[in-house]
Order: sequence, then C-alpha cells, then structure tokens
Amino acid sequence: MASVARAFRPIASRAFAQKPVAPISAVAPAFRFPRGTRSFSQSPLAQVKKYTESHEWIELDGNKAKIGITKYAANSLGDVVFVELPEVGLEVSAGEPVGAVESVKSASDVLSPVAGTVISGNAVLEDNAKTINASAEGEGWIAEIEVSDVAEVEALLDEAAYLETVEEH
Amino acid sequence: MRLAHLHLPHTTPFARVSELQQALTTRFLTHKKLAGSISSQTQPIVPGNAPPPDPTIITFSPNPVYTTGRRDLPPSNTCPYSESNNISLPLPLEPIRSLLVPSGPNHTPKAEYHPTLRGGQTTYHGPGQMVAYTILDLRRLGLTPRCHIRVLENSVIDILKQYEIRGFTTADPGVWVQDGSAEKKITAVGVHLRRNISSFGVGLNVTEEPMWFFKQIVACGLEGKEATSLQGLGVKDVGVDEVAERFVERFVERVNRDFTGEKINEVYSVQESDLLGSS
Repeated sequence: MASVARAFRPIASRAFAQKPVAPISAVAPAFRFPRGTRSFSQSPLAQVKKYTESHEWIELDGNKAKIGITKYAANSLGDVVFVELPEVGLEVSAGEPVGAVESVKSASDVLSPVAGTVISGNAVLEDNAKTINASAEGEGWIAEIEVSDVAEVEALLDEAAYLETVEEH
Repeated sequence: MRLAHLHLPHTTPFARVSELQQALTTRFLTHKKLAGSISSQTQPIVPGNAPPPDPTIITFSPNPVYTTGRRDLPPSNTCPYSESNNISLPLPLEPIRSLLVPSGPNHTPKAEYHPTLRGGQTTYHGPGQMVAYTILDLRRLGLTPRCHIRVLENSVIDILKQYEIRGFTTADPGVWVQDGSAEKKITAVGVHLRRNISSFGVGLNVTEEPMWFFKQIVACGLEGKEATSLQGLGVKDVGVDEVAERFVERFVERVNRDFTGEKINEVYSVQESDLLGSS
C-alpha cells in the first residue's frame, strides 16, 4: 500500500504544481517529478554546493540545504570558541543571520545564502565549537534549512568564482 | 583612504553611541549590498560612482554600563535588545541585580545594562575609561578578523609604551600589564562582524574610577583576575580625551605599517550630526 501511495504522490504534486501560473522558478520542484519529465539540464540540482562572498557555503540536497562557513573563513577567524545556532522554525531571507561564529573576541554573523526556514542547528557545535576549525565544510555545518526557492541557490558563486573573490585579497 | 574620528567629549549614554554605531554599520552594509548586486550582474563597478563610507572610529566614555556579549545570551540574532525591561538578566549579572534595577520610585540604578552582539563576555564601561569603537570594512583595509583584534590590541600597547608602561597580550584576550607580581587587565576587547564590517572595539581604563564597578563582576569570564588603569599604574594627570586622540593615531600607524591593504592617509574629525545627517 505504502509503495502505491508513494508512486502516486509525484503525479499528484505535479498536477498541483502545474496548475498555478508556472513560476519562473519552475526549477524548484524539479526533484519531485518522475525522472526525465522536466529536466532542465544534464546536471541535476540535487547535491549542489555553492558559496557567497561573505564566506558561507550551502549544500543542497533536494529542497533541504546545509549552511556553514568556508575553510577560508574558519582559518581567518582562528580558534572558534562559541557558535550561536539558529532557532528551529526561524524564517530567513537571503543575507539574514542564521547564527554567529565567535573566535578570539570577534563574533561574526553567519548569513543565510538563500531564503528558507531553519530545520535544525548543528548541536555538535554546542559542545565542541572547534569542530568548525577541524571541518568547516563538513562536520562543522551550522544550520540546515528548507530552501524556499531552489533556483536561488543556483545563482550563487560556484567554487572557482568564490576562490577568485578570496584570492583578490 | 580617509578615516573619520568622532570623539564624544562628555559622558554619553551608551544607547546613544549604540545608535550612532548602528547608523554607521547600516551605511556600510547598504553600500556593500548595492556594490554586490552590481558586480553579480557582471557589470563593472564604476569607480567613484558610490564611494564606500569612510572607516570611522568613535571614542567616548559612557555612563556606567555593564554590557554582555553574545555568549552570555540565548540565541538572539534577530533582536539584540530584549523586550523584558531589564527584568531578566543574563547569569553573570544576576549577582549585581541591585545595581542595575531600580529598587524604588526615587532610586536610580548605579549602572545600566546593555546586551550586545559583540564577541567576548561581560564587561564594564564608564567614566574614566576610553572606549573606542572601530566601524570599518576589514576587507578594504586588508585585515582578517584575527588581525583586526591584533591591531586593536597593539594600538593600545603602543599607547602604553608612550606612558612607559609595558603592555602585553596573553592567552586570554585583551591587553595586560604587570603590576607587582600580578598580571592585571587594562583593556578589554570585543568586536562584532557582519560581512566583514566591524563594530565595537576596546575599552581602556584611564583612571581608577571604573575599578569599583569591575570588582562587582567577574569580567570577561576570567575568575580571579584584576583590572587596572593608567592612573593605577602611576600615570599622573591623564584624561580620556588625550588617550582617545592617541588611540586613533596609533591605530592608523599600525594599520598602515603592518598591512598591505589600502592605506589611511588622512584622519578628520566629525560631529555626531555629520554622522546622522546624511544617511
């Protein structure tokens, strides 16, 4: 039974998604469609990692994404002594804080690269803030959000473009 | 690049300085946002089209105030000031509640309390202390967050040198001096960054006036460490105004000498009205 329901759901959501005037962000629900029906590009959006000029990374998995600070940012901050995690349910727009990372005596805001709703903060950092120094772009993620518009992620910097902004200085 | 210096010669309410600082950081962030949206459209930024705001240092002494840093508060990144009117205090200030909350209609509290978003923990600011807040784009100056803290500390160490005092840094942040057999803290440091725009800065004790207030708390989470001041170390006839002037000079010197970013080639004085006028 369950598998039948699962099989039907994509079709239902497809019908639903197509009824309203097709949004410009039609890429957003792409992952919900049965494979092949609506692929816009050869590289699927699932599992995309992007960067911001303010040194955050975001890694998309479906419509969820993890956010953290880049290795470069972690290095230039030095030893992280405290991480402020966002509250679950917090709604953020792009560029709004989803937490803060404190080192020595600087507290740096962590800004959400895209709009979304916070699903969780990384509790590991509550006890061990230095995880950010050890693994800024892995274990040291800061927040997981449900992304409002997946297309917004795509517009961010890719790794090469980000590294270029870092090298300028 | 030019650097603006706003010195507030009289004791100023902390909230007023906060407001000024907020107005300035907003201006920096707005500029960054605009410049960023232009560059993301891959159009060249027209030089001189919208010049970035000048880096600014505010020097002042507030009315007695205890401020807390981010670590002393529950997550609060959307609202730095709690609505509960001084009633709920962060843990480190609970022991001195009687100093902060009026106990009757005709009783004025001895000190204010302001939560802030800076790094570092609970500290005290007040008359007899030179507080310097640096509102700048670290990126433009070629400073990493860590270097910025070091510049702040080194600027203070350079001032101390002028008074023939040897200041140093330890594993604990801030600037320390040797007083007999004890290491004492003369300057606290705490900074907030958003998109590389810094705010807050240092508090350097000039006279002994702040000492009583420091004794009431465990400053910066450091148990058993004492504070001291220039006066406490034997410097005579020293005032906040003079130290403020020196801080800006030493800060500019340090930035220009130690870093490869854009140089500061002029310092000019501004008034409060200049900063609030054209936003």
